[in-house]
Amino acid sequence: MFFLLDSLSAFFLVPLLVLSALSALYGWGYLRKGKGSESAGRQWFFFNILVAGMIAVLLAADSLMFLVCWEIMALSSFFLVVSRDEDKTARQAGFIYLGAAHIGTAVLLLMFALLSVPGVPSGFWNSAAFSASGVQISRAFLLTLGIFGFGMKAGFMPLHIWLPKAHPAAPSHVSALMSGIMIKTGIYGILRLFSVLGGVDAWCGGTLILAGICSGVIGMLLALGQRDSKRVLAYSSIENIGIICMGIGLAVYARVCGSTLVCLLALSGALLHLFNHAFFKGLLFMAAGAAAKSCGTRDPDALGGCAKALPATSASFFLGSAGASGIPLLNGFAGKFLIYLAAFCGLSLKGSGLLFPCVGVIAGLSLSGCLSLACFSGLSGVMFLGKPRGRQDVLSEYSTLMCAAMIAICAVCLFLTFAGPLFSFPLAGAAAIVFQSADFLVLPGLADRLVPLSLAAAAGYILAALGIVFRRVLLRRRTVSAVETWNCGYANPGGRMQYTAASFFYPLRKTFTFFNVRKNAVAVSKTAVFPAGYKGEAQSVPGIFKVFLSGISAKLEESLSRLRWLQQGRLHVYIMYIMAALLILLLWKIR
Amino acid sequence: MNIVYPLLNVLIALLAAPLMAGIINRVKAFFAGRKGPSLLQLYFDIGKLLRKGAVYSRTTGVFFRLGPPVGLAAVFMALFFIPWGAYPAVLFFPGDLVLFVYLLGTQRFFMILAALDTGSSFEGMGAGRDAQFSVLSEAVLFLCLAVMSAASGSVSLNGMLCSAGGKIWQVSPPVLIVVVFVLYIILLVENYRVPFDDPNTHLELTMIHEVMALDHGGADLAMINYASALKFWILAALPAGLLFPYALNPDFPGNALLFFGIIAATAVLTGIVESGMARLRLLKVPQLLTAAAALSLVALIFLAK
Repeated sequence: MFFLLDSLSAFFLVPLLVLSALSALYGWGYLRKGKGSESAGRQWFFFNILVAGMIAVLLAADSLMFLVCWEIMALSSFFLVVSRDEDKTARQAGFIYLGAAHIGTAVLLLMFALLSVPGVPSGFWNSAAFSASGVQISRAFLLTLGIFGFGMKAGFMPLHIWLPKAHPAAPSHVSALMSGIMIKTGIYGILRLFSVLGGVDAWCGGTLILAGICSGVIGMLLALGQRDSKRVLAYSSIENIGIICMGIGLAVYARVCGSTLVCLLALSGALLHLFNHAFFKGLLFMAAGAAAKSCGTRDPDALGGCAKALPATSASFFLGSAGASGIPLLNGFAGKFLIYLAAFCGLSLKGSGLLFPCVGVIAGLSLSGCLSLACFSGLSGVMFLGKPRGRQDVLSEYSTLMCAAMIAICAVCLFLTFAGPLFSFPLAGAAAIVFQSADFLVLPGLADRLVPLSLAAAAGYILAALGIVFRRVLLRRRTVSAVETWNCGYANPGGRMQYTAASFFYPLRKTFTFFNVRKNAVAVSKTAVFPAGYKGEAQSVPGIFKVFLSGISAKLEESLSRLRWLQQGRLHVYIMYIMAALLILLLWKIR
Repeated sequence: MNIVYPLLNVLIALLAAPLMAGIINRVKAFFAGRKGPSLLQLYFDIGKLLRKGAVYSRTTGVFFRLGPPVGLAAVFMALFFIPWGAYPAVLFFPGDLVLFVYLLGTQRFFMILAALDTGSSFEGMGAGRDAQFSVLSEAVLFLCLAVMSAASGSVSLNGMLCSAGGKIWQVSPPVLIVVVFVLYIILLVENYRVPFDDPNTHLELTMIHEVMALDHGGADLAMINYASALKFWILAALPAGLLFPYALNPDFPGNALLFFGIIAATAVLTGIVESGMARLRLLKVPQLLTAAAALSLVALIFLAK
């Protein structure tokens, strides 16, 4: 039995199947014309392998199968990231991604090796019998390895480095799939590990909450300074993974403290947010990709005013932004709401020991939520509203197929806004699998807590419509005239006088300078006696991680460079190494 | 309990909210030695604006027109979750406080988009500052709600402010005084009052809220002004709900009047604050809000003790 479908994998499979079908539709339009169409065959090949790999990862029932599928998923997405391999940054992004993925896999390999049971060829994965097998490995060690290995894929904050590079480099339908589903397989792995181990520890919950707060808040702060719309979205994915991670951490903590209701609410919130995020983030990546195809740039500061020329793209981007901001009119709110509710419930329970985790979750969620609202209202406004900043006289939608795919996802997002109560049973089923307990199935009330949200969203739409009708009635017999925007009496304001994303976010970046340093670099190429040209670049540098990570990697490189003589670059030397290794192994076996 | 009284209170709020702006301006005029505008000035302004036509900028599109009605709808919905003194809120469910804060966020989301839709750098400037302040103020508001939730053992605004009644004060009075103070700071920043923003400033460069409404006129401006008045009332009702003396008999007919009095007193206090101090430098605002966040964290730690 290599594959198994249960309510946990089913919960992840539904968004995967829907989103990959719509991504394929989008990709059809995205790859059909223009430059780079010669590699379309290769892209479709790896796209299909990636989708198959992700499905297999979610269904795999034993460790070996899981690892093989995990590797297929990582490699096929690597080839998609480097699909524009003539571009140096894409190649670099690909290698960073490949490195990160393999560090994660290496750790997971160790974890699975320790998890394996003597006598059973490929060990346990999808089975609750691990504890019965009597394997004597400390649970803490396995959990540490799991959180690190799976966290690398999910993009927890210190392990996130590949995300902001790989997502912008990949074609947009692939970024949508990678951000929507692939990083979530890391979350799936962690949840499945809880299920296999049959128990959790409080420190694990604390670690996850802390990782979630870091990812949520710092991820969003880093998003503010980016000059590439898809990179902003990549950082926002890190933020959303942080929210999911806070929910899971709180669930684990509450489970240890014995509060089943808080545990169910937090875990359901995390899973529901994961489900909704797949769609609104997929939509955002697709809309950003469509805007980039039409306008020829991903720099928000070079766009502006394209809402009128690109109605489907801009509507999709606004809808996705509203989802990412978590406003109650769209599907991004329900998951956050459940996690908040879990945290407030935990606070109100006297003497449950949940006070500090709950306060941490509330603080982290509120700060990251407000930051994402600021970020997405500003970003979408600068990109699509106002006047054009550059030359964009002849803009049009790039492809009808892309528009159709985006409109379909918009419809899914709107449906999910009102469909919250339908999720109560699948969510409880998934929670029962994760914590191996049937308590969650009999606990009432998840649907009752989600119904008010659907009603509130409906009331919001109706009231807003009433307001618009009221204004229309008022203006029916009055003059409505059109003039220039007020610019303190200046009669001829140009597009380039507008506020840019850089200036919009300046106050916020200034407030949190510590995390987010903006650097303006001018590189002069020195090929000749006289400088050949200038290249100016403004980029946002993650303050603390830059210092932290580059310090570690510099030390590591220095110490490892002493071993460089081993790597000769000559084939016969390498063959000799293989010979030597085999000889040593042979001697060791004979001994 | 009877649904009539809560609904009646919502009606009072809808009718009386613009009066608070009048009170603030009268207090400020009193301290400046002027006669000041009528208490009912905002009603006259809204009435006049509703009778006007509309002027739209050629740059603007859908979002400029969506901003005012959606913002008003969001604030209007938030109104239903606030208990009015001894009377419970019209609507309440577990976690309604999260929806309440996010409704205020919805209003902001649409106002920022409406501002950016004009393509004016002044409006962009106001929107950027608004985004900056809101990030801190909403996080602080959540921390305050966390303190109130931990103190009252309830997860809805109604439970915190109404059902728990005076009992919340038996938990730890100093903690609640801190919370009332922090809630008042949030009231000032969310309503763009001094020391965060000066509603009387005369230069587009220095405005925040006013500049975001710069290109709106007629019915749109009326909706924005009315939504601001409602927002003041809603945010004043949070500390007022905490301060309300529940020892009184809930059937006492003067309850609604007393609650109204507390909100009016908040408006008077705001007028005094505005007369007594200048607006802060923009760079100092995050520091003040961070201090407020620290205060509410201290309150939580006291509760945990």
